Amino acid sequence: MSFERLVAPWRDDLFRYVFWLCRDPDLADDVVQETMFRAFKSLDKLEDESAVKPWLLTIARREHARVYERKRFETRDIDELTPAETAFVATESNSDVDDMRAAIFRLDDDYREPLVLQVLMGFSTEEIARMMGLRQGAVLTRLHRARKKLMEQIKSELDLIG
Amino acid sequence: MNCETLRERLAQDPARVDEEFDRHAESCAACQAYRQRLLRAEALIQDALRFDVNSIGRAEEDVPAGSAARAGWVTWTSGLAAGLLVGVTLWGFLSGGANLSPEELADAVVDHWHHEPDSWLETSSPVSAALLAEVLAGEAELDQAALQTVSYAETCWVAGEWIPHLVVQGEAGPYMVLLMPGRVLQSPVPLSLPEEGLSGSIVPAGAGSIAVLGAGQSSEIDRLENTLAAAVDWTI
Repeated sequence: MSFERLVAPWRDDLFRYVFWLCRDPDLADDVVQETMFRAFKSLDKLEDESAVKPWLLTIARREHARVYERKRFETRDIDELTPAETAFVATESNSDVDDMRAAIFRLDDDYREPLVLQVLMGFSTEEIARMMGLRQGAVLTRLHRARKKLMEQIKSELDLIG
Repeated sequence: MNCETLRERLAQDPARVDEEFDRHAESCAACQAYRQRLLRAEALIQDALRFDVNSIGRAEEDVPAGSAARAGWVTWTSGLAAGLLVGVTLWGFLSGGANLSPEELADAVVDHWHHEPDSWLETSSPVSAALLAEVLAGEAELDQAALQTVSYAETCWVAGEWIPHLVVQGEAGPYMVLLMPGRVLQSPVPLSLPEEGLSGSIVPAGAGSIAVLGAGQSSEIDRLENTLAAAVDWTI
């Protein structure tokens, strides 16, 4: 199978995953570009084509970490959204989704990543544990806490929906 | 299990079928309500995470148009563009920066030095042979015996192309070396980064060119450039 056909189904989700890791669309562009380049160069190492999704994500995760190793980003209060994040959360016509997006932005990275891997990418907790180098129990704890924090932040919207 | 434990388990994966929770919820209105709230939140989480990738604002790629320099790379990127990336700047690295003027090329090379500060170490530790081979694969073969330690190797996006970026240790410390296959120059282009005390040049080398930037005297830089020109065999 050609490289293009192999990776095409995962293109958008790969960008979403990286974006939720870094919360910066331009940086996500860079990481995805680098990911695709490295994936293309090492395509012969992909023994099982059905494993292309975790393979791409593993490369992307490593590239994202390398970017952060190389660049010294300013630390900032996660309760304050950047202007770009603020603009991004307001793209939906559904304000509840916007609020949830803002709440996800405010999650600690440690909580956000397993949530994205589970909900967006469809990985099992066992697979997430393997990808993140964690015990499965730690992943379960983070997933539970992530949802608890999100529900606390959008409590009023959930009450109104119900 | 009590309510708290069951709710915690449900919140780990609301999509999972949990018969024990179901049995419990039949007689526990509070847990039924909790599940409904959790499922509503889960639907919002899914919608929030799965945003439209085309709706997100991104800076325009500053990739100059120009003829393709590396056949293999361009073949792939062109195919990728046709299949995946039509009209999306996300992947807007299709063409190389072969049309850059020598001054623009020099600026891009000097600018790249700022991007990888962690590469700039004076060290006797060589980069692993596997990583060096990966970076050079399809670009160039390098006779390492002719060089002192190669302490860093990375594939980098410089002046519109992915190229090998090496750091070679010299008598005066580290030198940034960029191998630019397919970038044919008519004459050497000087490089200068006076605030860091660095200088060098981009020199023609057969079917490509080589940039060297470091703190050494011009004679050492010339020597390194000559050594590299003899040690590099372009594979494109």
